[in-house]
Amino acid sequence: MSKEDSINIELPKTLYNRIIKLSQELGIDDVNEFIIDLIRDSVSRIEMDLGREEYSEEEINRIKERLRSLGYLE
Amino acid sequence: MVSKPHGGRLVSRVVEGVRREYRLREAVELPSIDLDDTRYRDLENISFGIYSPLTGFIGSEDLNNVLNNMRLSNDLPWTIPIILDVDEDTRSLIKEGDEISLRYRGKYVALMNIEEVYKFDKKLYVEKVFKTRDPNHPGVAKAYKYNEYLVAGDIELIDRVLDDYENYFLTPKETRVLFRERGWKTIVGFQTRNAPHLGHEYIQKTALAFVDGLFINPVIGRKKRGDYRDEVILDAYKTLISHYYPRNSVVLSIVRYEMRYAGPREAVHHAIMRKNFGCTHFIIGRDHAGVGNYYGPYEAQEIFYEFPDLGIIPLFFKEFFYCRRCGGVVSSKTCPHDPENHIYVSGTKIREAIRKGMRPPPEMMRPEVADIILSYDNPFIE
Repeated sequence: MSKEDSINIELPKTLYNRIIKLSQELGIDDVNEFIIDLIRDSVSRIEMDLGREEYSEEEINRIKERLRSLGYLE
Repeated sequence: MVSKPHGGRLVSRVVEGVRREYRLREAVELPSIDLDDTRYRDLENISFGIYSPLTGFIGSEDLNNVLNNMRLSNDLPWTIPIILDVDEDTRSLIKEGDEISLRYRGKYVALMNIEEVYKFDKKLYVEKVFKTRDPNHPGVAKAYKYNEYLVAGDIELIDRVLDDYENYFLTPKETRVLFRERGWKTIVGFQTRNAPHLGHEYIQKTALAFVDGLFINPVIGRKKRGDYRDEVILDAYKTLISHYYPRNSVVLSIVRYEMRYAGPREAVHHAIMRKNFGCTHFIIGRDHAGVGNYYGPYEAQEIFYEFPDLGIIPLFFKEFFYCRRCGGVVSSKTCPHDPENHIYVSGTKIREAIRKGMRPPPEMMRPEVADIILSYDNPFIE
C-alpha cells in the first residue's frame, strides 16, 4: 500500500503490546498487515450484522409465485 | 442464515411501474451509447445486485484502487473492474453531469448519470488484472481492443433483452427467498463453464456433505472456442441432477457473464457474485477461471488469504481422480495408492471421445450425461 493510500492511527500501548504478543504466538511477521486484517474482519462483521433484507410481503409473494412456476418450489 | 450481500445491502437498480414508463420515454430523447454483450451483461448484473455494492460502472478512484489494492475505494474487496469504455466520438458528445441512455441490440435498456469521463492506462489494467501482457491471453486480447476512455456513473435498468435461458435465471433476491423457503442456512456455490464430469460431481458432493444446499451456477455467455455450448451445459447438468443428486439439495440456475479468464482475481470476483446470491461457501478448484498456463494450478486458491473480510468461505479442492484399487473417485489427500492405479478425469480426453461420437469412459463421465451431450450435432463452440 502506498503512503498516499494510508493514514496513521494511534493505539493504546497496552493493546499494541497485546497484538504483538498474539502475532508472535501465531508466527505472523507483518504486524501492520495483521492489524489491518483484524480491523477489516471486525468492520465486515459489523456491516453484515447491520445489513437488512427488506422485502415487502407483496414482493416475497411475487417471488415465490415465480419460483413455483419455474419448478424451484413445490 | 444465508450470506449478507457484499457491502451489507443488496443493490437493485431495476426501475418498475409508472416510473419505468416515463423513464423509457425519456431514454429516447437522450444521447445514447450502444453496449456490447459483455457490457450489457455487466449492466444487468449491477442492476440485479449480483455485483453489489456497485450501483454503476466504476470511476477512476475505484479503478485505481481495484487495480492496485484489489479493493474499492470504500475498502471492500473487489478484484475485477466493471467499466464502460467509449470511443473518441462518443466522448466528445458527453460530459460529467449529463444523463444518457444505454442501448443494447437497438433497445433502450438503461439510463446513466455520467459522473466521470476519464482516460485509463490500458497496459496497467492488463498487467494488474491478467498478470500478463501476452496478447494471446483471451482476456488481454479483448482488453487491448477497449476504447481509450471510460465513463462512470450510476445506472437504472429500464428494459431487458431476453434470451432463451430466462426460465433458468434467478436474481439474488429470488435465490435468497428460495434458500430461505427450503430452510437452507448454509449454501455452497459452484461456478462452471463446463459440462459436468465425475471430478466436478465429487467436488460438489463432498462440499454438499457439509452444508444444507448446493447452488450450481453455470455461466451463460461468450466463452472461447472449444468450450461447451450453453444449452449443452444446462442439459448435461439437468441430466446429472435428475439421476444422481437429491432433488431438494440442489438449485441449478444460470448467471449471464462473460468470462475474463483472469485466474486468481476472477476467482475472488466469482465468490463475491455468489455471496450476493446468498451463498455462504464457494468452491475453488484447480486453476479456477484460468486459461493456458498463465496461472499456477492453485494460485486462484492462494489469493483468498488476502481477503479475511470477504464474507464467504472459500472451499479449496485438489483434483479428483478414479482409483482402481480404491474402486472410486478420490483425491491425492484421500488415496494412498500409486499413480498407475489412477485414471485422471481429462477434459481433453472427454472432448476427444465426444468429437468421435463416443461415450467417454464411465470413470470420467456419467453415461447419461455423455448421451445427452452426444445428442447434439456440435456441442462445442466453433
